Amino acid sequence: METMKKEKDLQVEHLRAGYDDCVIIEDMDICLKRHEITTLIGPNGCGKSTALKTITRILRKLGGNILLEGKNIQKMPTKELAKKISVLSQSQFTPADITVEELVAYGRIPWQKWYETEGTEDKDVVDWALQAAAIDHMRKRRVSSLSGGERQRAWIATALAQKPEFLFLDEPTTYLDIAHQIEIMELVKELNHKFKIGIVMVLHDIEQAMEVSDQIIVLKDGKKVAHGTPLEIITEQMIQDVYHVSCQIIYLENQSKPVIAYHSLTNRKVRI
Amino acid sequence: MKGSQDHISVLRKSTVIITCFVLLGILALIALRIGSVSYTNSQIIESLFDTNSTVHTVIINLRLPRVILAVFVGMCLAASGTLLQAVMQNPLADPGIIGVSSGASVVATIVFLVTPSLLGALPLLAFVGAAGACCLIYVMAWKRGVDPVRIILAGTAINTMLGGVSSFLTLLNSDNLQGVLSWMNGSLSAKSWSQTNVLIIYGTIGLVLALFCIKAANALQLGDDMAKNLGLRVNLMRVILSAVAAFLAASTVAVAGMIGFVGLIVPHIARLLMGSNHKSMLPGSMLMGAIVVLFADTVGRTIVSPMEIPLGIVMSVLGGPFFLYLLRRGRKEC
Repeated sequence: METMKKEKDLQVEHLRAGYDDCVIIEDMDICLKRHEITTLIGPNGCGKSTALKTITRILRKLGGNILLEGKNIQKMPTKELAKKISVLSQSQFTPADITVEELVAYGRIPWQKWYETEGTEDKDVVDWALQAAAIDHMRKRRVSSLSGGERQRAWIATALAQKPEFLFLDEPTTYLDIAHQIEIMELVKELNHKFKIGIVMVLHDIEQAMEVSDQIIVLKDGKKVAHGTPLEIITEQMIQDVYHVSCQIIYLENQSKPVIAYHSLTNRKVRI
Repeated sequence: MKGSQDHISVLRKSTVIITCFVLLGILALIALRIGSVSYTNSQIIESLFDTNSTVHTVIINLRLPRVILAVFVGMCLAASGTLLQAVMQNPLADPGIIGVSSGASVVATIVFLVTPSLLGALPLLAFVGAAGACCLIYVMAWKRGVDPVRIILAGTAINTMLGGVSSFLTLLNSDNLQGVLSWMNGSLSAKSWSQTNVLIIYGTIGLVLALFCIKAANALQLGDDMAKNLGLRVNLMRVILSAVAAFLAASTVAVAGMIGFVGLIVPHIARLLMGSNHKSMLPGSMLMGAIVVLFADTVGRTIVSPMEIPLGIVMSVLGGPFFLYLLRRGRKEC
């Protein structure tokens, strides 16, 4: 049983990441499990997005190994990887006159040969993705006419059309109001529970991260400082150490997850 | 079932395509009929069978190659612009604006003035120039990826520089000036079948290659990260698509000289009418490019007859205001 699970993991070993002229992440080990929702949190500039982009091979890694089901993703053809991992960056560029349906159909590109057009299977998957992201009713609308939350769901549907094993989301709730944030988080949970897609996210809101995540990874200055279940690792001390903010974690009755009351900065010297 | 859902947009696209074909046919007929001497339809049909008449000579040897040339110039430039806009993620990318055509033009000018013996290989040599300009743009604008704004700025600067080089070359060889000048302004006048055939061959190759780029163009227009996520080898595809675009632009430059604005305006019209998916947008763009160039050339040829306005000038005069109109319109829609 243990080995079965291991097979479906995404194993990051000694990762070194950044750009040519500056190393942002040094010697990071992470194990991402497909049946879990894992969230990366940490202060601005700690390397969350860089880690996400490097693990998904959007950015070239500077060192280390990334193994998907035991196979080195560096050696996998780009197209094969795109069938297993899909990733949404923080903001997307949407062409002006594209409909939701057309956008989602682009998610099928990795499954098509260069000369092939959409087949019946592609259309079925697009239908499924539209339904899974609950945007089936607006498939004919132009993406540019959608609200922020709807647009985010359209992009998630595009990523789903890739039929990935792992879905990486970089701050999927930024720019959204609280109702749409909750909507996206509910969708993410459903994708994980119902369709068994491993979710790896970057979030800023710690309470939100505690609410949805099975595992939380805390990054600071390009290093992993904590990795575990939300209740294990989100402590007043951790928040003070990582964000330099004093706070109180309050457990309410009838609520599985606590709320965090932030007080003040404990360190006035802002790190640049 | 799926078909009925797609019904409206497919219907609209087919209507646009059919309308374009009809329009192109009518325009071609008009272009064959009018000129320094005008003919009726029946005269044109008669002339097809009477190979000794002057009508036959005028229609078959003068006007028909010009019509076909205009159609190919339009298709190639529009396709080139469409690909460049996708690959540079900038709606302002046009072979004439960012220096791709200028690169071809510099090399072509050198061949014209210095080594006329190589004229047979002009399209290929012009392609070297266009590809060179393309590389230069990327080298100048590249910083951790393509920045659409920097691409246009670098391209405009390179365009200006190469334009200067071309002018300098022509100044040095002023005895050949007449021919080079009309060529630099982009003209389809006095083209024979041999030149038209050159563009038919190179243009067809380029256009077919462009059709193979549809999927990559679709993915690239979503941005580098998304394209990579969709399994595209982004840098490789960028090189291939740029090369095809440069090849298309260079082929037209080699035969017809510098013609601006087609690659800028036509993809915009095509996008408005056909949407952003290159599967329908790229063929639509080619078709509309043919219409626009044939129209502009016929206008330039007849409006101040017996004088002729070079196509490049007509395109600039018509194209500039039309583009500004598109810009205003686009803003209102948002």
